Amino acid sequence: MSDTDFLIAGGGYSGVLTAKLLRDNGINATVFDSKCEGGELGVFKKLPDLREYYAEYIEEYDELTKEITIHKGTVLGDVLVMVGRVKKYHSELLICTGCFDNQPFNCNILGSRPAGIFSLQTALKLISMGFTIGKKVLVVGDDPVLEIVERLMYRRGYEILLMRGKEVFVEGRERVEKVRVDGEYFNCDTLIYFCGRSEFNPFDLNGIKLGNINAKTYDYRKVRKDTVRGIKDLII
Amino acid sequence: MKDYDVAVIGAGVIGCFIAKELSKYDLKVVVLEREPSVGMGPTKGCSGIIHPFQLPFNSLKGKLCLEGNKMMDDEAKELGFKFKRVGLILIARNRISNIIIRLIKFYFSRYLRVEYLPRSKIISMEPNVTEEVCGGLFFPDAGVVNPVEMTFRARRFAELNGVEFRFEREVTGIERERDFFKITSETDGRETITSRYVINCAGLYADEIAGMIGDFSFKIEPGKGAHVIFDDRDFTYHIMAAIPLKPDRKTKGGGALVTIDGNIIWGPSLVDASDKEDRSVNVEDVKRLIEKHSKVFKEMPKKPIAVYSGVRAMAGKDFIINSPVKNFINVAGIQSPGLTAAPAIAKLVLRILRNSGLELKNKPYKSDAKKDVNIFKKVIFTGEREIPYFIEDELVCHCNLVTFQEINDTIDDGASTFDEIKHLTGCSMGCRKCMPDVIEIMHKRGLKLRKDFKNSYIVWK
Repeated sequence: MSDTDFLIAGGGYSGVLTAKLLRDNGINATVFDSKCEGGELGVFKKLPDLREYYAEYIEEYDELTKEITIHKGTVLGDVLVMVGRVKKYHSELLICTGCFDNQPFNCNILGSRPAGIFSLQTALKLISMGFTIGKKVLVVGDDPVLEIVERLMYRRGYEILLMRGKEVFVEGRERVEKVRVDGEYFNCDTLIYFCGRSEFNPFDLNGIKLGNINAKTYDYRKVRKDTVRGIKDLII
Repeated sequence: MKDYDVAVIGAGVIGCFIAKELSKYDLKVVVLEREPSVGMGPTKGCSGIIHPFQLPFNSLKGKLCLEGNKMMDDEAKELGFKFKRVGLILIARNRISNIIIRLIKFYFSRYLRVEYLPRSKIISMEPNVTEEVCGGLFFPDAGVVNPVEMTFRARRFAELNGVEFRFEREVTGIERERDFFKITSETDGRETITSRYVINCAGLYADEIAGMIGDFSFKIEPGKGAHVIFDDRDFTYHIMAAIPLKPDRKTKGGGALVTIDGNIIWGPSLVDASDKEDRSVNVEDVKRLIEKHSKVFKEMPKKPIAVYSGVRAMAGKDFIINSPVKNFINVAGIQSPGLTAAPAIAKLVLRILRNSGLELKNKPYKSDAKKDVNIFKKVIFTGEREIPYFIEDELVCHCNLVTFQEINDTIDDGASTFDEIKHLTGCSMGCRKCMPDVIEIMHKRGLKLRKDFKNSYIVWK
């Protein structure tokens, strides 16, 4: 580890792509990830329609991980915690920790907070883990990926409706019972929302940010573009 | 049919503290709770403030607040919950209120510690305070706790010392027979127990429980309070509020609060709710809160992350602690500052029990020590960089540094719902990306995948 020039936090698509692009330029980099589950693409891979939609990136990721090893460890500031030991590092840090979906309040979702409200990200992960997240699902948001999600969930037997809306109000005590979107009521037991993403950097790591932490999107073309451009800037 | 000496109805902070106090004596005690976990009613919805005082000083709630505040350090140590006396600053924004607060100080100092703070001192303590500040009062005894943790630790202590907690038992009938009560509860099937004494701490439903023995002397009115949470740890360090000149019922009380973890909470408001179960927050609630509390500061805190409402169980202006029927005690209408008063209320209830003939025989009791801080928290919070031993631990929640081990320990201690695990460990309170991982742990541990209430299923497998 001491002979590495760069430490990459995050072993998802942009982390691994970063390591590969650096290696192509003769620069050593070591990738660390807390969970080693293949990042977000690891979730998409388990869901047929999304697997197809993201096929290009999933295949690329699988190819890349054949040559690039992802080590299990969490980067906390200037310290790296690996299962088994804690180590100080002295390499340059590249941050490829991706993003998370904005939360209900930031998406103008008010009302009560019963069970059955999911961000797109958590809904997809739960489904990929084999959980059923409800029966009658209302999806509120505006993004091309939502149409794929709609098809995916429809095929899995969910009753699903996709809506755009600005103001959302949830009713229900134990579980979602009704959702009001811009004044119109929908009876449903589940709400999935999407209104953009924010950078995931809970330890406020200092370093160069690459990939989805900047792009904040479900559009992996943009993730790829940001990573490639970032590396270009870095090498110059 | 099971026989008990004391049956406590309701496992909120009050029920759990009474149970904890009773567990120190040689008694058979049972706690009956409608929901699957403790503190999921008014307790969870409160702001977590340990108040330095409550007006009027000569009211029951005023006295119990002062007494409870003094007891809090010992309670926190004995039960093992986090408690920090952060202090409260009441701010005067004009010259008139700056004169008024000196009079207030003179009057208050008979009851509690209070200091006058000049403008410069407040600015040095709280750099974000408004330029308009003229002076203020400082109450060093004000503190903060995590109300769910406080309640859960009291339950844990009580359970360790022999109190039986029966969850998902909604009391549907109480009958008096000679010198004991027959209590019927329902959920999956009916069950009847008998108990010599009954303590009614059923929160929002205390009036219904009292009605079962024919006491219709009070009615619980739900008083909803909305809060906004900000993830801005260095915005303020104390609880802050402006001196109210014109009391406005809709925005009565509340302040710019800090949580035990350093987040910022603005609230609570007071809105009449027609429904005891209405915990909704609407646009007006948020606007009103922000409008009110932003007057105290130069700028707004960054990153608002969530809003929530709690429902106060109010019955008139004061607490109701009485015995309408021999051996039946109401502990009702425990509105603010119920959390602060909880330990003092428990002591008072014990005195009432003793006076009505219950023999309180001391027994040895134990408390379980707090577990070590995990390695990630050591690195981030204490700066400890070299850990000499091997860890097998792994982070679940990055935002609040919660490990698998901590979640498993919390489940071992008796947490059974998602919200309980969330409030006790802090997981899934930041970006909430880890929520599926927490659900997975719950599933592996064989828990029902519920949020907080009996039928609040999140997912199914």
